[in-house]
Amino acid sequence: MSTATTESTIRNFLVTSFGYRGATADLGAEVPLIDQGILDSTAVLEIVQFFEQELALEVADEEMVPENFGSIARLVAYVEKKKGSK
Amino acid sequence: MFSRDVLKIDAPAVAAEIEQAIRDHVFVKLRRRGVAVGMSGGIDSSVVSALSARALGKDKVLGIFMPERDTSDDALRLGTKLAEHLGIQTVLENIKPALVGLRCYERQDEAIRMVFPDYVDGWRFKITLPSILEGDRLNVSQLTVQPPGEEPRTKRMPLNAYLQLVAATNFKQRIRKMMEYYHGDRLNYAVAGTPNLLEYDQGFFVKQGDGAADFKPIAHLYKTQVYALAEHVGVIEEIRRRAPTTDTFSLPQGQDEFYFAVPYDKMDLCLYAHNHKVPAAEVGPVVGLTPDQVERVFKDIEAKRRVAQYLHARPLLIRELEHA
Repeated sequence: MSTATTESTIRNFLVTSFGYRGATADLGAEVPLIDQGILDSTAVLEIVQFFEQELALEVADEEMVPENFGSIARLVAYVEKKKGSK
Repeated sequence: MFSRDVLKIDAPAVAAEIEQAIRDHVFVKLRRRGVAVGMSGGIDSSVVSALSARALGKDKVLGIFMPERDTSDDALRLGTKLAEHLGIQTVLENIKPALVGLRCYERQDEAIRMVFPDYVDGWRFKITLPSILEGDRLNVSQLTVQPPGEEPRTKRMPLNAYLQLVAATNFKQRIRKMMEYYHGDRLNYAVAGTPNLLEYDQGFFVKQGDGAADFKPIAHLYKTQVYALAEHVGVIEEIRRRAPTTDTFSLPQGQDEFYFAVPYDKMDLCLYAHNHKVPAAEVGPVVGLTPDQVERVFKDIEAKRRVAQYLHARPLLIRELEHA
């Protein structure tokens, strides 16, 4: 999966799952998802579930930090890093 | 200069102001003849009971004890001791059968088994949050279980388990409030809410559970100030010395590990500082945290406020009533 595909997978998931919280298809990659209330802690759990079940990644507790989940760009970088380390 | 003194209060003056407000709220605005208050043996409900008795007279306050399976023995013992000291009437309502009827414990157990499949009756458990002091962690809850005689085990909870466990546990606060309203209706009393400012601001309550009430007389006081008021209004020393607990799960649990980022005395000061725009560098030395840690607490305050918006929201209407 290329970086562009990863981004589109994540973006699609966010729009489908959190459209009701304001996640739109044109959301900027750097928009702070947590500070803007698009993601909260239960939403983060939903993303973790998606990463683990759909992308077959294992998310460690200590990786659940804003640095990895705070924006689309950070989510993409995190997934790319995890895939690279598999 | 920022210091711990910012939370100092003139206890007699604050008590007098609240007592006047309780008389005004209960008799004038709500037109009720007294106050029904759930007593947990904790500092907040004890202070509200004492203030109500001082404001309205001890014969116009009903204290309600509502233990269930996971309530500590201390709760009832201390509550009873305080009620006797205040001279108010009390009633004991064991809410366990109602919770069994609603399958509260069964639904909790089902949620726990999603995380620990071997979990059986007799193990104790609690939900905790990771500390944000060591790093910039998100508020993702963990479940700790402890089989008898063994070390506790902790695991992150998947979303469905977390939501079900919280939803089932919320029955406790909601049943309690239902019982308080039963007695309130029966006696034509108003039902008191007992959150302090920290809990009220940060959303540490169950919507339509302990969040429901006719009036909330200490919701403007930091927890530190509630303690300061407690001695003045006659709350017994044993309650004043007791560490705050959620008394909700079967394993003992401090409020700071379940909800707040740091213990209440630090949390109070951080919340005050955040509200008054005191820089983290100035707050750090006073609360014994690094400026970075204070910044994280500030962020956490904002995150909790976002969650609390829903909890505070009244039912939304398409149109307001015309005569309102």
